Amino acid sequence: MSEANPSNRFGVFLAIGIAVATVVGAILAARAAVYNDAANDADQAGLSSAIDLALTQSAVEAQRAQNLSAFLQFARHRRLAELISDQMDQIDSNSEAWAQLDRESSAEWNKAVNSRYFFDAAFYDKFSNTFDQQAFIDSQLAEAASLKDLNPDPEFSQADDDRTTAAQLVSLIAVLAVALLCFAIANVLENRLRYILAGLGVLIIVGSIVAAVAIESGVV
Amino acid sequence: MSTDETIISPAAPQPDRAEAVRSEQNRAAQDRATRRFNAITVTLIAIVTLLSAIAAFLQNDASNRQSSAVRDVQRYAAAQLSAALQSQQALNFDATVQRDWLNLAYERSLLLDSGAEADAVRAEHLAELMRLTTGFSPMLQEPYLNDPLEGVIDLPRYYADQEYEPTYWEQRREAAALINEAWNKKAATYVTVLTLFAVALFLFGIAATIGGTLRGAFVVLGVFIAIGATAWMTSTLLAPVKVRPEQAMQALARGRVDLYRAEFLRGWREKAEALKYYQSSIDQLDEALKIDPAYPAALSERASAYVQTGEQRLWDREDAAPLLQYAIDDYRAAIEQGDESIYALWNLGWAYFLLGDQPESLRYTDRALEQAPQQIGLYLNRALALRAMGQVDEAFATVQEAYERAIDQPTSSSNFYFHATIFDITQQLRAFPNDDLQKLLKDVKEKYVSLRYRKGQRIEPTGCEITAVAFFQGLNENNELIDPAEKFVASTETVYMGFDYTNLPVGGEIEAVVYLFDKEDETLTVQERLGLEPIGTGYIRITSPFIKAGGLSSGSYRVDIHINGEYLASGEFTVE
Repeated sequence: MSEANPSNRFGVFLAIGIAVATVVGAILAARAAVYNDAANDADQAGLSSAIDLALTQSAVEAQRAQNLSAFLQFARHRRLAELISDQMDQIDSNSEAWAQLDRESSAEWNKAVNSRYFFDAAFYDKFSNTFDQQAFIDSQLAEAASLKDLNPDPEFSQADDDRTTAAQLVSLIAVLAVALLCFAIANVLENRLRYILAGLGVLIIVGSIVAAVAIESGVV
Repeated sequence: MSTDETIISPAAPQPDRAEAVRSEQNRAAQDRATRRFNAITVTLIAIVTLLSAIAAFLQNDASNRQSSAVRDVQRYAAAQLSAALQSQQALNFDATVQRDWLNLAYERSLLLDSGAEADAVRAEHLAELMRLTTGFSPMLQEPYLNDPLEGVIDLPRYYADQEYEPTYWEQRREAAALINEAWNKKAATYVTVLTLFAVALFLFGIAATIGGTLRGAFVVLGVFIAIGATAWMTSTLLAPVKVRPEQAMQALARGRVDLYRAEFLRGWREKAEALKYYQSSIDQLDEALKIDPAYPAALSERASAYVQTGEQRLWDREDAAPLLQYAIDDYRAAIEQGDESIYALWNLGWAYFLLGDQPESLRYTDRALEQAPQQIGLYLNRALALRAMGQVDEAFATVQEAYERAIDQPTSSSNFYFHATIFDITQQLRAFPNDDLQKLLKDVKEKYVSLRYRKGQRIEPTGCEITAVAFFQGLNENNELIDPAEKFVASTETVYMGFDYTNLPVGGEIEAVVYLFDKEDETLTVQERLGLEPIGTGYIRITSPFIKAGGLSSGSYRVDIHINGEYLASGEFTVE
């Protein structure tokens, strides 16, 4: 068995270097594709949330208007009933005018009671005679948010992060291409520079692998 | 076979050693050349591979940014839709509360007017309810209403303010769409560049496997392709992606709010206030354009403010040319910057019309018509431009075309544009009297009455003539018109319009269209079947639809009398 030619050994070394760079590049491309896919999924989820949010806000606004409208009727009839009652206190309770006002007051009060069924009593404060619109809106939104995701921002942030990771991995492929260039030139040269280039290529491969692991593990 | 067994024939001639050496040298030289060629080829392949990796990186980056931009377009579209829906719901609610408040105010004023003590108490109750009602709607609070009992709602301001949110989100969506478009273009370019690099690599690979001079040609071609692709990639990389600044979009939304307010005020004939807000709108849009000089929506909005101001000046017989020229410049710039909306073309055509450049007006109106052949307003603008060019027959034919289309395929704006054209022609005639234009106005009015009041029935000559019209304050016991007048005191409830006629068709219908300050007040329209003699005197009542609500509004009125749609006479009166 004869000894291998040093030049052949160097050629084999370069071939292995090129193969390793190519395989690492392919792995990085595959990982980048996975991250891009994840980013698209996150975007879809975020958009779904954004649409749900828009629909919910519109629905809540419609409900607010409906509740407030009913409450306005309630408040007006109730206030008028009170005002008429105050007026009744000023006149003889045996007079026809008093009886007329009594009928009017009762009618207004009944109208108020009817309106009362058309707004959410949970937000009606009897003491201040107000309807807490903001609390109504907040509770409706909170209720909707308890059933479905109404915050698209985390998904969109996740999508952005995944895309950044994919871009970083793809940039490493470009760096690995520099290693390929080093090996190719080393293969052509016949002076000592070829060893330096080959070494540089190896360094780039090792550096790229380290960087890829760091990116994947979230260090970068 | 071993070398010992080699048999050399003594008869064979001795090989030429020099020839062999030369041959060996040639072969060695060829081998060196091949190795050198292959070395160059391999190096080129490595370089192009590196460039391909860079192109792939750039493509991935561009594609990612494009994906983000698409997402933003969809996200902002949802936000815009939500803002528009919420705004509409809030407007509906506020309008309901406003109506309630106005009704209370009206009831209260009647009670206060009566002077009775019981009514005064009741009026105080209503005042309390009015105060209560104002708490339910921002429209009935500061800054739109400063007194819950006696104040007047600043509706132009309120409605204009509701424009801000939807406009802002619309602009954000459009800005994201622009970014999407730019990155999409870049991503597509990088894919092409990658393809070119692949072609170059293929050529280098072929060159490495074949011999002869052809391999050199392959390499040269591959190098050219690689250089071209690299140059394209570099220029694409360096091309900036336009991102619309946030401040520009906010300034545009403010500008639109002021423009809307100005339009509202102009519609109410509050010219001085309207001009103030047109100017304020222009200032806001100037700010937007200072930040982003190539902002098409801001250019279009500013042009709109200029053209409306110019139009008002023109109707007031003032010099409008500079403003109209600004409007034209802005619309043209907006179109150059990518505003392909029908509105830009339509309004540019109108701006040219107002400026008096009818060929250009026709050009842009026709371009708009190509995009929207069902838009009645465009045909009517075209007719005006043709009339101004002296092509009167063509103008009438174009009005006829508009009318036919409005009958066959009525759009929701058909009546509106006939109505608007009546207003525009009337303003033109006030400023620049012209017989042909007067005839065109008659034609447009008849077609409007046909569409609006006669369900598209064709207007045929009736043979009827109205020989005189006059206005009166009342009737005597014999139902005869008394107290002729042209000016009526404020709060007049009813004005009588008398007319002498001949050849009235049997069972004819009168349509009296009443204009207040040249705009039709449909609540005053009189539409009746006539049961009169063929020749005689008739009258109609022009009465406020509101009872005990201050009578007819103050202002200048014009009444057009149509019989079976045919426009026959017109008269004017004033209520102080």
